[in-house]
Amino acid sequence: MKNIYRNRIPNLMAVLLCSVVFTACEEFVETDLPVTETTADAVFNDKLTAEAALLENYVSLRDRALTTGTIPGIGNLMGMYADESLNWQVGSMAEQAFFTNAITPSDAAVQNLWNDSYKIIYQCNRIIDGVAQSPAVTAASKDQLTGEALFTRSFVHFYLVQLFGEVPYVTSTDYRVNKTVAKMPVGAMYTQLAKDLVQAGTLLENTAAPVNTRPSKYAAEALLARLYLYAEQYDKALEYSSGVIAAGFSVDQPVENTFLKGGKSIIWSFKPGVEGANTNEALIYIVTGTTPASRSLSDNLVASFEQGDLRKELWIKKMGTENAPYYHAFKYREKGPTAATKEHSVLLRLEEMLLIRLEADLYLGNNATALQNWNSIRERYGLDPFTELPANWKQLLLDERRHEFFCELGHRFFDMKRTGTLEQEMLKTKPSWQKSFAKLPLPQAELMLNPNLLPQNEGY
Amino acid sequence: MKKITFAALAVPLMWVLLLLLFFNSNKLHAQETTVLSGVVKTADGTPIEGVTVWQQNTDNGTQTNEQGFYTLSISPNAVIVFEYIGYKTQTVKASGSILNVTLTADDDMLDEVVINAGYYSVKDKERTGSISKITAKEIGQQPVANPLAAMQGRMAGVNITQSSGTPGGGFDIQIRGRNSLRTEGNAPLYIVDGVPFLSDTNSTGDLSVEILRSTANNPLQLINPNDIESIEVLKDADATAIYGSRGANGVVLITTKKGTNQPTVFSLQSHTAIGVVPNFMNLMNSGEYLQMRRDAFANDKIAEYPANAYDMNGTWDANRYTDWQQQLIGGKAVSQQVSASVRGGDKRNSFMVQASTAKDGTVFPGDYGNKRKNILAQFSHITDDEKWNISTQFVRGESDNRLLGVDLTRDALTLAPNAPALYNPDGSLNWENGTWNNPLRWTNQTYNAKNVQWLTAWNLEGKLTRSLTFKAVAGYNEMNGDEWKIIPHTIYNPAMGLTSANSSSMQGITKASVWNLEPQLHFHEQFGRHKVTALVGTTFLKQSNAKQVWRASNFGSDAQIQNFLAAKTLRLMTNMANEYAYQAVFTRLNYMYDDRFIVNITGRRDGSSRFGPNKRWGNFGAVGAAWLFSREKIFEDSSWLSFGKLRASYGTTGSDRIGDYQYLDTYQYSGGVYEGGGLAPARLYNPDFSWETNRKMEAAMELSLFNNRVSLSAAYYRNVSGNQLVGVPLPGTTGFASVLANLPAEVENTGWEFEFKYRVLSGNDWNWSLFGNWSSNRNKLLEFPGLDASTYKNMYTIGQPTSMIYVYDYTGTDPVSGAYTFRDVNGDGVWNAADDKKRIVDLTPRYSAGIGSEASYRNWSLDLLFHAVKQQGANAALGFGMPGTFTNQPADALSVSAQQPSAGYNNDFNAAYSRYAQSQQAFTDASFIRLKNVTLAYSIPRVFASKLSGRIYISGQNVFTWTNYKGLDPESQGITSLPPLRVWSAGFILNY
Repeated sequence: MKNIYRNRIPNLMAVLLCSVVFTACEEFVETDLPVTETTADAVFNDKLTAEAALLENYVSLRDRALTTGTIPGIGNLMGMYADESLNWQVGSMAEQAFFTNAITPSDAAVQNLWNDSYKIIYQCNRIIDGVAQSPAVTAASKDQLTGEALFTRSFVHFYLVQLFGEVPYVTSTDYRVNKTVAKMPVGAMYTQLAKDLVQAGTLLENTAAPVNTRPSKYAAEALLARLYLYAEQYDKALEYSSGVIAAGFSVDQPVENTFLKGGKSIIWSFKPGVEGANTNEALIYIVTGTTPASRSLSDNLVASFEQGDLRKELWIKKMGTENAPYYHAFKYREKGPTAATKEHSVLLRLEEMLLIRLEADLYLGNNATALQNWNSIRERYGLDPFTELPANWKQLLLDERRHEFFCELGHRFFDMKRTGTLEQEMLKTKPSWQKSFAKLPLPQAELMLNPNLLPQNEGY
Repeated sequence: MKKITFAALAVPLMWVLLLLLFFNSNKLHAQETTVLSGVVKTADGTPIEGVTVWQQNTDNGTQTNEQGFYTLSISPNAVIVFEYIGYKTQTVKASGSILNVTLTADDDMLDEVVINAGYYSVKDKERTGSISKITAKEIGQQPVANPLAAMQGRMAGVNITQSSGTPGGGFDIQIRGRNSLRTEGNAPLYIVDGVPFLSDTNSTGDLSVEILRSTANNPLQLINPNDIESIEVLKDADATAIYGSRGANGVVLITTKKGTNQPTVFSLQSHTAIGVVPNFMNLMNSGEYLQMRRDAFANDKIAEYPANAYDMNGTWDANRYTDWQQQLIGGKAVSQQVSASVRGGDKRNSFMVQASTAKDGTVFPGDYGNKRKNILAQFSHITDDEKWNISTQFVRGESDNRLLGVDLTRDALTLAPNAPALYNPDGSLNWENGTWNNPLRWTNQTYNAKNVQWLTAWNLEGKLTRSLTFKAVAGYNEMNGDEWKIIPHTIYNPAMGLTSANSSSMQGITKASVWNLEPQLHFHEQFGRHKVTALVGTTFLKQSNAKQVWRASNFGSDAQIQNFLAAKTLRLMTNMANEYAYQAVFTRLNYMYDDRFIVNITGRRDGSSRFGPNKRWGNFGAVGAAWLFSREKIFEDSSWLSFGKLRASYGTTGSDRIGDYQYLDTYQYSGGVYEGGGLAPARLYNPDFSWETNRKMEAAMELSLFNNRVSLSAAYYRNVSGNQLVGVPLPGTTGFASVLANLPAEVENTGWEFEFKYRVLSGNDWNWSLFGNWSSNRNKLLEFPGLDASTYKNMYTIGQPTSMIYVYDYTGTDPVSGAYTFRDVNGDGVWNAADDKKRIVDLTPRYSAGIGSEASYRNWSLDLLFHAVKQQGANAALGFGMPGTFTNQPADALSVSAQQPSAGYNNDFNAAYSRYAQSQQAFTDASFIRLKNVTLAYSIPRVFASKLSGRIYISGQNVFTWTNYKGLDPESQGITSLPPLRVWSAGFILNY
């Protein structure tokens, strides 16, 4: 007879073994930080990683958000919305909606403009807070990082105001604060942004020789010049634009060199992610074929140039057939990659400062200086000088800016808006234009989530 | 060792108790013994081998040999128990040294259904929890590629929705409603042969969303339905609390096929199937469409058709007409499947090996499809002394899904009927001088997903004493994915002047693995009328998920577009390497009195690395009870009541499906490069979240009547989840869309579930039974302190389901302007979302049901399954966009009540239509009754050769649908994804 349960030493051992296994400690459920993530504290304890966090803002602004040269950027969308571009696509609902001014508060494109912008603002605030508390980053580096973050935060707020009107001014990183923010009146916002930009300029004062692929002291001053122009404080606009003009930038000759990466007039630009790549703008604006497959310049814009204007000759390309021509923007010429990168996406350039100085002088009554400066601009573009200041200089100045900045970051739309000429200008090409189209609607989801943002912009 | 956990303290205590029992029972050996021997036979005199013979209340026992003979040393006058599966247990008091016994078969036992409850098995009649089961019989005969498809309509309370008919995509499962407000938080836990299955998709949205839509590569398609022996779904607290934090949304237990103790059988099985889109929409023809467009421009007061209105301005031929549905999704999807298996074993060993290969085609133009290969291997061995049982399973699935870049369903529905021809006379794609985007350009774009998932499970089971069993389950599961999206420049309109410098390819490489180890001790003992079953165990689990997504662009030519060396630009878009660690102790104590009263207590203490250091541990537990009232004396001789049980349970479960590292404040590289790179915050960080709790209550009754001919069950449940962990939506001004936090809200799910089975006929020739289930779930937000001040203010309201949605109240069409009108709730003269979207639409399905019939006559059998759902769904008409724009429309889009068509140039029409799409009109009745499956089979009698048998069958899936829904399909809804196909298949099974 055999007792099948006799041999119990192994059993006991098994039991004891299990007991050991059971006696586990907390450590088992602790996981290490993934190799693909770094804690925020560590990021701001090292200048290089803190700077990498800062650079993410430029990645966003170049590749996907707000000022990007890709389809969802304001350069393209506001060009469609105003009188610069024609939409030829049937599939792209977002662009068609901008083109026909049929924007609704629930449009994803509007929501994205808003969300992406505030995401950048949040990141700027994180950097400002993180760097301030960092024991390891040197004072000089702190100044530079904080300066660039302050500048970028102001830059993004500035565009939000242009697009939506009153918007919240966000300086906190606490979501409990940011989820209930209210709108700030435009005047107060401008005051705040000016303050921030002055501070950014001071912080960036001592940075090494300005590199135009990063915001510099001059970028801050250039944006201040624009801000004061928009705020109609012409003396300040004159002061800051003159300051930047005197800083050693120069207009490029020949004119087609303006957007090359080494362009001497460039105050701030974005370089592509990899060497050899060129701009997003070239990719979307340059089209071939007998009919434009995506977008072309409006006939109204093309016809508005004076005979012989080099900007029309060099920055616009005629396509299609002789009977049915169309035009595309040709400021950026390299659609594909080149051995070495040739062009950068320009955000701020000297020509704008020249035009701000001109406009400020005109409004301040410095007519002689203005005439002289205007003629030097005209001369550069192969146009005859004015012998005396034309009576309709306001209209001519608007056109001047239109010819200078078409397809660049929505300049045209914002210029019409700030000069009060939006409705009259838009009705020339878009008969269904309504006054309320001057502002985009606040994103519907935003109003639903934060009632402090009510009311919706009029007309939506 | 730093902090000793509760687990570490409690478990040894348990052990001490168990060991005391263990040694206690062995004291008998010190006493005087006599030798007892005898033979055990069946009623017809056949000796039985392997009968367990033991002295009651001791662990002193033995087994009979081949002659049915046993000998055993016993204490004098001991009570001896004879036990053998399938026979009634006999208890005899020993007197003398010879004891011969005759065992009688237990008919009750023979057809006793045993349910796998995960860590333990339980007789169906004695279970206290709510568990549904289907077996290979139901799964095997359906021509489906995903096990979830086979479950559809067969289980009460288990709602499975197929949202795409494209191979590799497609299923959403909800067990007893939406517990969590997070979509991903509603997925159940899948366990295959005791090992957690990596059920989360490894697909990258950027790569797969265009073709698979929202339903990205479901890993369950890597399990061959034909490899599955049974699927059990655990639903209530009693059944799921032992899974603790992972059990909140139910547990799906998949058991693969095993070897047998029978002589070896070779099987060959194959089927061929043809699938088509079962229903096309009735759309406008060219005449109707162009008339609508003319009216639209007239309404917009646009006299000269814009340059990009190619359909209207003469660029395209107004007389053309193409049925785009027929052209783009009208093909036949051919599927084939073959599998071969060897299965067998002897008394102590069993094995099974099965290999399968399959290809599922598509209805799109071109040669696409999903190739699947599966291997199943299983071995088990029982040691000579019958003490140890070791078994191992190996399950491997591989799929190579090669598809075109984009699901063409949307194009098939919305392309203008007078759009140009697809091909030029020379066979090349026609771009009509750049005026249209030829839909077949997407055939130049390729989506390819190669996935391999393999799983191995090792089970070791040893009898320490007669009442104490040691079990260990060790498992490893790995899934490797290689996903491609190949975008040559030929998908773009040639007029854009792009070259291979603009071509790109993306590759997502993923590797996920999980191992777990679960040592357990099981105890069972009977003391007279008291039966005690207990188990205690612990889980160690580590999981890692790694993913890299590359994007290569700027190629010299498209020839080597998948070779990154040929790309001038190569970027890593995503790089993820996450770890997840989980540990638990769990226990179950089951007490049964007199086979009538049962109490089942389960508990689990869980630690998860997904929570912050001080919030890591959570406790869960449940108690269930059952009363088998049919075993009461009063029903003993009842002619009508064969079985009756009342059961109830209450308990808590949780969920840690919140993603890894959510409590950490970290930065990661965004994938964009600017000079030194770009670091972005990984998430909006909240260090304070902790476990959510789900309290589940259930009461149920199960009845079998008239000699088990009719069985019925009814269950009512009420689940309340509180402190829910959700991504609380945030306005964009915070920089993020949401933050993970505990929501101070209570959500209640209540529901009824009914199941029945009726054996209508049972005889030698005729057999016919009917079965069915019906379930309904109601969801309700019970309380939400601070709702009005939260971002949920315009999303939820107390007393309404969380699947509600606020919409504009559509009131009709303004006879003057021709635009849609809505109720101005606050009377301010304008319609805006915050003030006027106040009407509530409830999207919870009202009920779902399945009814089936199984009939057979001699060798013939006919099975039917109907699936019915009563629900509201997305109105397909809204997917087309505003009538009058450059897209085709349903033929009835311009009914009398419809808004005047507009080409999109009139902002009033545009705004009105945008609101219309956010009104109750965006939803419509999407109820349906579907003949889900019909199978006619013939069993081949053993005529050709004595050992050859088999079965041939034809089977239809989604054969017919009765519905008022006006889109392609009421189940998948919308117009962007291919609906579930109607599939007819023919196949055979041969056994030798």
